[in-house]
Amino acid sequence: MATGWREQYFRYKDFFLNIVSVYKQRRDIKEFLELILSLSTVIIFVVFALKPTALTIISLYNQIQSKQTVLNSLNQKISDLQKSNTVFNQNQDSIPDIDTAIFTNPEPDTISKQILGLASKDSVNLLGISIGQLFLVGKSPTIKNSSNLSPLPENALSMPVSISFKGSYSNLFTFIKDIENLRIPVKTDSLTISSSQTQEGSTIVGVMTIRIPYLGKK
Amino acid sequence: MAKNKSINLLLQEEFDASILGRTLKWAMGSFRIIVIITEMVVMAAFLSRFWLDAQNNNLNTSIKVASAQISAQSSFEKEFRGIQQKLSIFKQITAIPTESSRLDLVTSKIPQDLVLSSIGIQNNQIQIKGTAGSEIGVAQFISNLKSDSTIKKTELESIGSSDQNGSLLTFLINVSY
Repeated sequence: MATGWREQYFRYKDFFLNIVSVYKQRRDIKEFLELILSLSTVIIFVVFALKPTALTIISLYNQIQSKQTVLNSLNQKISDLQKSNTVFNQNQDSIPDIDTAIFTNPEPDTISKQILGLASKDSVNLLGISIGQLFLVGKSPTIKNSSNLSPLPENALSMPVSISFKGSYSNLFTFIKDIENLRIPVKTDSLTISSSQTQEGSTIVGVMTIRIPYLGKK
Repeated sequence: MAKNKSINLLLQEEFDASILGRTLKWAMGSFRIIVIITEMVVMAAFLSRFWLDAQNNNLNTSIKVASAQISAQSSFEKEFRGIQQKLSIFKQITAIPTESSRLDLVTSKIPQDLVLSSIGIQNNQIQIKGTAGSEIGVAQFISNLKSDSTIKKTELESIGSSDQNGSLLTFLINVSY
């Protein structure tokens, strides 16, 4: 056994020494070997070090670019918020008027009072006020819009109101005009004025169908 | 018998002079440079990663701070957007010509011997019913309506004698605007 490994040792020693002597003697082999080693080094560096690092750098670069865009947008938003804050403070006095003009939630009592007040002012005999279906509390479901009614701007919800009234033409006209010029904007869907002869004489009756916009959010 | 060993001292020079030798020499020189450059690139990439990581972290912090600032103003933003929406609704509704102005327009065009019994305004259309003493009055009324630039179409839908008074004419006019 002891002589076995010794034989093997001498055999391989000779073999390697031969290779070394060939390497030292043959310049071309030396050059080729160095070339192969250099190539291997470059390949190992590229595959195991440069490629993953480059991929990570590209990924990081893309992340930085997208985050920079996000940050710019956020900064722009902060700047816009500051500007809007200034505008808001400058117009602080007018804001309650805007809230009165367009309801956040439907207020049928307010509009009824306004109509009653106008009828009294314009000497118009109010025959009836009818307010359509409304969700006063809770989230209103999506209400299907009638095909013949145009949607309100900004997809605002609407409170349908129908008013019938009686009086002289000039009073009816003033009443209609006053309703249209209320601080609360109204969208008139239909207006009918008809005169009829009764035992009491000529009667002029008006029927007005309007929609009052509201946001429907809290 | 002693082994005859040959020593070739010109071998190296011959190799250096050969095409293969020169190519290999050039390749070796170039590859050394390539290896060095590769190592430098690897090191630069490795170091730049730290710089990019730091930049990324800074951006993360900045985004967090900006988001917190925006979140803090969310209630104000909601209120402001609500006001903007209300203003837009108000502006758009008030820009539409009022029905009273249409009514005023129709009544201003009525000739003397013509009396209206009803006016209906709906969907950009006006339906006018009335009585007139003569056909000339109706024709004059239609002519007056047509003369207005805001009116697109005027149609005389029907005309006939009044049931109550045979000397009067009843008419029905449809106006589109």
